[in-house]
Order: sequence, then C-alpha cells, then structure tokens
Amino acid sequence: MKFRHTKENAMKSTSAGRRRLVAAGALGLAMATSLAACGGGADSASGSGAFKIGVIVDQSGPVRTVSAPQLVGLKAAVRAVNDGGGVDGHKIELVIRDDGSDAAKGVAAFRELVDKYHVTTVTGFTSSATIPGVVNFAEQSKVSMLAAGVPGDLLNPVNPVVFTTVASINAQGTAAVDYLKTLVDDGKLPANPKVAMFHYSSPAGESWKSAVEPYLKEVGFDLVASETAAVGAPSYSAAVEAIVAAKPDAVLLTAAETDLINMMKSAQAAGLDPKIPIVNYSFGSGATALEGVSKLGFTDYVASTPFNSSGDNAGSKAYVDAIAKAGGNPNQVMVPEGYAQVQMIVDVLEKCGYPCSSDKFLDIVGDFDSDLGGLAFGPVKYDDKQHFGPTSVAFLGWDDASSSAKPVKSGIPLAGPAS
Amino acid sequence: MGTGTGGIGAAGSRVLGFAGATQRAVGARWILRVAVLVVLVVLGISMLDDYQQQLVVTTMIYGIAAIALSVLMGWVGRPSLLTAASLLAGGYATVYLDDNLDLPFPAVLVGVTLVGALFGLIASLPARRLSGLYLLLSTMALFYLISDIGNIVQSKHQVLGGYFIESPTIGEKVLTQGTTWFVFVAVVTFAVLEYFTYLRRTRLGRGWIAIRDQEAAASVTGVRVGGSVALAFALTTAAQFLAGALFAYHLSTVSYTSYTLHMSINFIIMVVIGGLGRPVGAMIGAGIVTLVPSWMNSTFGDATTSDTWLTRNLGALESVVFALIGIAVLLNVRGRLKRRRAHMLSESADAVGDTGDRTELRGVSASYAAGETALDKVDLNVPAGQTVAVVGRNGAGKSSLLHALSGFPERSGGRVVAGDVRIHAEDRDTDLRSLSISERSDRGVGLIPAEDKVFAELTVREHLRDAIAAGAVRAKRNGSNPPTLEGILATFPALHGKLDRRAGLLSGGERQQVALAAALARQPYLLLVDEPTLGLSPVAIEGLEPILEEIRRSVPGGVVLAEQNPALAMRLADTVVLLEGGRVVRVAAPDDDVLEFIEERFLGLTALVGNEHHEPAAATRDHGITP
Repeated sequence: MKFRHTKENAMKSTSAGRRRLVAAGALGLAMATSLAACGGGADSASGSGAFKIGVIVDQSGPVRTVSAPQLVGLKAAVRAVNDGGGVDGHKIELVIRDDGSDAAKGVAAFRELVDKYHVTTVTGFTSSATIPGVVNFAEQSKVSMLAAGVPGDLLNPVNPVVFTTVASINAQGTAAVDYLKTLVDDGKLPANPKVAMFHYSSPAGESWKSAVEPYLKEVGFDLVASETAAVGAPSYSAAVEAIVAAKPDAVLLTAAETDLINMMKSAQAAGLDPKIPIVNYSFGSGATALEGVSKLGFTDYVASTPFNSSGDNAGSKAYVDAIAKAGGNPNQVMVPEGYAQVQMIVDVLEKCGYPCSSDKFLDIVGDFDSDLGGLAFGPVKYDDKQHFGPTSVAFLGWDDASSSAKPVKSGIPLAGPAS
Repeated sequence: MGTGTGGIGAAGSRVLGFAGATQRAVGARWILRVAVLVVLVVLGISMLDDYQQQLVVTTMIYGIAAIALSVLMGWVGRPSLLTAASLLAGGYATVYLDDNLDLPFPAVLVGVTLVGALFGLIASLPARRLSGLYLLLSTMALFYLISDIGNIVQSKHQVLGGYFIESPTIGEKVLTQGTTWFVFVAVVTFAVLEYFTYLRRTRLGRGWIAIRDQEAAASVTGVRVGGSVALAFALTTAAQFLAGALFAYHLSTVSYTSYTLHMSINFIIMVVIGGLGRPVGAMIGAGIVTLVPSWMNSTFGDATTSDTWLTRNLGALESVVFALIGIAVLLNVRGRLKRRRAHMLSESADAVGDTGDRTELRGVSASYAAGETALDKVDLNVPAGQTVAVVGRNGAGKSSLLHALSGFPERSGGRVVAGDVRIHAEDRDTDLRSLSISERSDRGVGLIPAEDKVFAELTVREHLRDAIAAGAVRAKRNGSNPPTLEGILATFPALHGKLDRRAGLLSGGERQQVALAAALARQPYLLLVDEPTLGLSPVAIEGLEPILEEIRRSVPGGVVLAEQNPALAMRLADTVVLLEGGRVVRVAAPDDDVLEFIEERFLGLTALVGNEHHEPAAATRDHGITP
C-alpha cells in the first residue's frame, strides 16, 4: 500500500513538474514578447530626415541630481537648434535613455541606441560608472561617446571613441594651482605659499591628488596638509580642523555642491580665515554654491568652469536665451555642460552633412577645434593624440554687488595628457 | 527461510521497481527541462536581436545571483544584503585570476566559484549567531566593507573606470559577444538552476528547510545547524561569485561604483517578486526587474526635445511598479483570487437540502511540503450540535485533521491535496478549502491549538476583551445575543480573580481556560480543540471537564476534540473517531468496547500495533474495526 501510495505521489509530482515546465515555457515566451516590446518602434524615424542623437543620463540613480540640469541644457540646445531650422535643414532628434548609474543598464541602453536607432553619436554620460562597460561595444560599432563623466584612464592613453566634453578632474587640479600662481604674481599670496588640500576618498579624488601634489612641489608651493573623506560624508569636521591647524595660505578642494556648504560650515566653526583663497573644481561652480559660501563670509572662494554662462559673446548669449526659453537656470551647475555637448555635436554635424553616419561623425569629431561661439573659455579640441576637449578654464566667484557669479580669472590653460 | 527470502525478494523487487520508476520519472522530467531550455534558447537566437539578447543575458546573470539569494532567504531563512558585494568580489577575483594569473577562461570561472565558496564560509560566521534583521544589518556592514576595500584598492591603483577585462576567445571567436555569449550564459544559468533544484531534494536541502522552520527542532533531529548554514552561505555565495565573473566579462570592466546597496536591494525585490524560495520565481523576478526599466525607457524615455513628466519621473515610476508587484506577491493576490473564484463557484453550484446541518470531510488527503502524508482519504461527519472526539497516537494525524478544517498555517507547508471540506448550515454550503484561515475564522471556525494558545504578554482581560469584541460582530450578524464579560466569567469562575494577570504567568490549566473562554466569547459555529488536557495535572483536567461539557452545549455547529485521553474523550463525545497513520480506522459511539480497544492500542498491547506500518488497516478489519 505504502509503495503504491508513494509511487502515486511520485507520478503526481512528475505531473506537477510538467505543469511547471509548461508554465516556465509559457513565461519564457511571454518574456520574449515583452522583450520585443522593449525594442519596439525601432528606427521608425530614420526616414523622417532628422539627425538621431543618443543620450544616456542618470534619471533614476544616485547621480540624477547632476544629470537633471545636464539634460535641461541638452534639451534646450536641441530645441534652439530645431527652432532655428535645424542643421543643414534637418532637425535633431534626441533618443534619451536612463542608465541609473548602473553599468548593465548603461550597456543595454547603448546597444539599443546603436542597434535599434542607429544614432549618429551618443552623449550625456554623467556617471563614470556606465562609460567603461560601454567602451568595448562603442569601439566595435565605431560610435563616438561625447561624455561628461569620462574616467581619466580612458583619456590617457587616448581611446578612439571616448571624448570628454568637460575639463578632466586632473587638469582642473593643476589649473587650480596655476590660479594660485596668479595670486602670487598679484601679490595676494606669499612667494611660496603654504597650501592645504582636500580630496574625496574615491578613485577620482585620488587621481586629482596624484596630479596636484607633484605640481605643487614643481612650482615650489609648500603642501602643509592633505586631507581626505568620503563623498557625502555626514561630517567633514576632522578633515577641516586638520587643514585649519596647518595654517595654510590657500586651500585646494574637490567638493561637490552637495557637500560644500557642510564643509564650509565646519571650516567656519574651526576658525578658518574667511579671507583665505579657496579653490574648488567645477562641481562647486554653481551659482547656489558660490552664493552659499559667500554668505558664510568666505570672500575668496572660487571654482573652475570651462564654460562662460554670463559672457558678452554670441555663444554665451545664445546659451542664456535657450536655457531661459526652456525655463531653466543658466547659472546652475551642469546646465552649460549639457548645452555645450549639443553645440559640439552641431558643429560636427554641420561638417558631416545629412545623413551623417556614426563612423563619419567619429572621423570628424576626432579633429575638432571650436570655442563654441565664445561659450567655452578657450578652444575645445580633439585630435588623434588627445581627447581632452576644453583647453582652458575660468574661475568663478560670487559678486555681491550684482548678486551673480562672475569670472574672477579666465583663460587659465588646462594641462593635456601629461596630467 | 524460503518464505523469508521470497518475501525479501519481493520487497526488494518492489523497492527496485520503485527506484526505477522514480529514476525514470526524474529522468523524464530532466529531459523535459533540457528540452524547454533548448526550445527557449533556439527561440531566443531566432527571435531576439543583439540588443534583446543583451537584455536576456543581463537577466540570466542577475537570475543566477537571485536564485542563490532566494535559496538563502527562502530555504535557510537567512536574509542578506550581500549580493551586490558578492558580485563585486567575484568580479575582482575574475580580474585577478584572468589578468594577474593569466588563467584560461574555464579555469577562471572554476577558480572564482571556489573563491566564492570560501568567501561564503567566512561570511556565514555572523549567521551562526544572528538571524533576521540583525543578520541583515551584519551583511549590510559586510557589503560596505567590501565596497570600501574596492574603493581603496581602485584609488591606490588609480583605476577610475574600474579594471578592464579582455574578452575570452575560442580561436578567433570572441566568446562574450552575440549569440555565443547568449547560449553560454543560458547553459550556465540552467546548470545553476538545476543544481539548486537538485539540492532541495537532498538531505542538505531538507535540513535547510528544517532550520528555517524551527532551528531548535532541526537541531534535535540531528541537523548540524551551524554547518548547514555555513554550507548554505558557501554554495549560494559561490553561485553569486560565478555570476560576478560572468557580469565582469559581460561588461568588460569591474568597478565598485557599479555595485551599490541599491543593487543588493533590487535582488531582494527579485526574490520577493518571484516568491521566496522558488528558484524559477527568482529568475522571473530578475526578468521583471531587468526588463521593466528597459521597457519603460523604450516606451516613455524617447521624449525627443520635450521635457515630460514621465521622462522626469522614470525612476520613481519604476519603484512604484516594483512596489505594486511586490505587494501583490506578498499579499498572495493570485492565490486569493483563485480561492475567491473557487468559493463563488462552489457557493453557486451547491444546493443543500439533504441531511441537515453538518461539517464534513470527504476523501480528504493532506500532506506537508517535504511530501509527508498527514491524512489519507479521511471521511468525517460532524452533525450540528454534536461533539466528535478524534483519538490516536502521536503523529496519527489528529492535529492535521483539525488544520484541514481550520486551514494550515502558512509556514507549516501543510495543505489539503484532495477531497472536500465543507460546512452545510442554514441552507448554505461553504467549501472551506477555498477559504483562507482568516476567512474560515470569519465563517465561524475556531481553533484552540495544542500549544501557543494564549499570548503571554496580554492579560486575561485583554484576551477576553478582544474575543468579546469579535463575538459581538458575529452576534450582530447572526442576530444573537452578544457575549459579555460577566457571562463568560460565569462559565469560567476561576478566571475572575486573575483578569489583570498576564497569560504567560498562569498555570497550564488556567491558560487552557483562558483559551477556551476566548474561543467561546468569539461565538464560533464550529470549535476545534487540540489536546485540551495536554500537560495538565489530573486536578486541572478534572476542573476542565465541566467547562468542555458547557462548551459542547453552546457551540451550534459542534465541537471536534483531538484528545489523547480516551476516557475523557468517551465522556465528552457523541462519536469517537480513531485515527492511525493518517487514516480513519474506526468510527463508533463511545462505549466500553471502544474504550478497551483504544486503550489496548495506546498501550501497544496488540501485535498489530507493532507490525509493519501498512499492516494495521488490514489487521484492524480483522478485529471488527470499521474502515
């Protein structure tokens, strides 16, 4: 009895297993159908006569607060171009994908843009987490990446498809030292000033330090403190107090807007001289950050930027108009970076003509030289030896009189591949 | 001798025959699974383009990690936030073995898996002492530790974009591209799925389930809890390291920035969506978590130059979609709808008018998750107003019979697999099988379990207050008099002076009285009482007997009493049912003959009790027992 009973159970179990297998098969088919939907509508606009540009940004991940203004700049620029009749009579169409700063999502998005939409180039790329995973496929498919968050090791040695549209963090670091040199020349700092520096305990921060530290020695400055802490740390007091205790004549920082005010409040509490020059990289160059630090009483805080959002030139004025028309804030950090990406693409498309294949675009962008109508503080250059893009930066400070961000020093050259 | 040998030979051939049948069944199932895999892979190759295959590859790699997590959480009961860190560490191990030691691709995969097993053993150390939320927090700490080490090492090496990995090649063919990679990952995923499915059927897998359900009891039954948990961590982490290696090759790079706590949480979402402890479900969860964002991106992200609400809120919408799916799974919406449909069908189909109000089981078989048969084609009739005593030895199926009526608790794994469980009352027929435990309770089925019958922290008054409130609702619905505290205390005078005492501080007999009082206050239609005298002194039993008598008179649908004390059962019951090995072996009115027979069985005086397990049914027939 027991034997028969157990056998029956085994048979029931087999039959249940079969049902599960059939269900698994059906699910597989259902997933295949949904996958088809994932790629649906592909290439539908290829006959519409528009240039298709892929955009990969972080709309749902940790970098979305930085991606959002970049996307505002990108969209505003495209709208302005299209309102003006497009490029060579052809409008630009952005195909936007979210990578959530997730490498796998980024790779999938890139493949979709290339395989399905046959985009001419892909831009955006706020997050450095996504770019390395995409590079292999970009190289195979000969699609250029005009990216904001390019890790330094993809620029040196030069990668054929990776182009940075913003100043590299290392180059910004050495430019900050050059800025201090101008203060020495102006007599605002002693001949061999004591310099303290703070960098994030991240690969980017370490890279910045590796460029700045030897350069400080090379120019004869005295490095009195080098402190570090994590991105988004709840407190920077320990690092800041160590810097204050070293009694520096100037401070070099890598502090994002989200950490900057926290850090400067700690500096205020620790008794840092409010007249001391404090030099930050571009993530601290937004009007909000500049004003916030100024309100804490630090009068000589500046941050680097490669783009002139308030200049008296055609490029800057067009920028302000386009952003205002799109309802954005031209002084917000990363808005000019997004806008500039589209301007670079437009410059290449004008030379490429319609239609512009991705490999033709790659050839042309590989020999690029433009100051974007004055929007950039100097030429943006790519050639077969380097893809560093912006060649000079300005340092912005807060102007209380006009209640706006103003360049304190401009035309500081950015070092190339050597840094 | 000859007979003996022949007997053994027959038994042996039966065993061999059974083994062969089982082997054939398992073999056929395995072949079927391989066939499904082949069909799906062929469909994938022919129907999906490169981009879609890329999505499926990501799904499968995530699926491997999710299967491992599902096993750890669902089978062993150990939650973990370590998954993303395991993938990261697997990726780093891949870089080391591939780049530094220059091992060939297959050796890298094997090496990474072994390193993962070792890592899992180390990661299991906190799990020996911790469980639940505390273990979750400790795995989170371990996640941050690994992530921070990744940051420090990458910073030291100044690899901002992470470590690059060369694609492995076979001849001139790059393995990690296109269809070759798709097929390879599909085969590896299938192997991992099959391996864990196989493990579930082994002693190790059963041990994990036992640990999850009741660690102390598992330990008593010989399961080495520490060793089993360590092995679970080792095997699941090994699978996640393997997934980490595949992911590293898939992306051609490894960086700590890509493996966030959010990613670990996503894996928990996959497991929850797929149903805890279901490897195939974990794959489905991985598919949903991977494909939904891509689908949303494709559908809503393509916003050209216009800034829409949808494009700005894709991340939030993804979270909402996952949350809705997760809630639906957690609330078992599918099961509820199924039960509701079955209930509606049975309500509309049945017309009662036959033999009066009653509760009945017809041909009911019940089993537990591991396959143990608890009830075998049991028939039982409880006429309204009568008391049926179910007697039998430990393990005879008494509690399972009560649970067949009240519903099996979620974690018990028990379920009715065949037969009908119905209440016919007031021209209304209710199929209890289609109802959840709470719905049966709402229908008036009350159960007093043998253990854990009171809430230790609540006072007697709090117990009764809650029960009276529930009883008042039922009374209003039925048009009867609502229960009152005074009325209850009149039946249970011993509780009068102990109203403000915590139930946990009462004696066994007093706790039983509290449980009975609360049950009575709820005004049940049918009351099920499991071992009311278990562990009570003779004096306490004597005090309980008149109360049970009182209850018997006041519960309209009747009382089912599971009791080991046959004499007490005889005094209280209208009918006595004797259970043995999950089968009803005798149904009779209580009398001395029945009592004598039962006591002989309990005392093990008859030879039939000591014989082979399948013999009693036949033997009992010889003794005049009604099957």
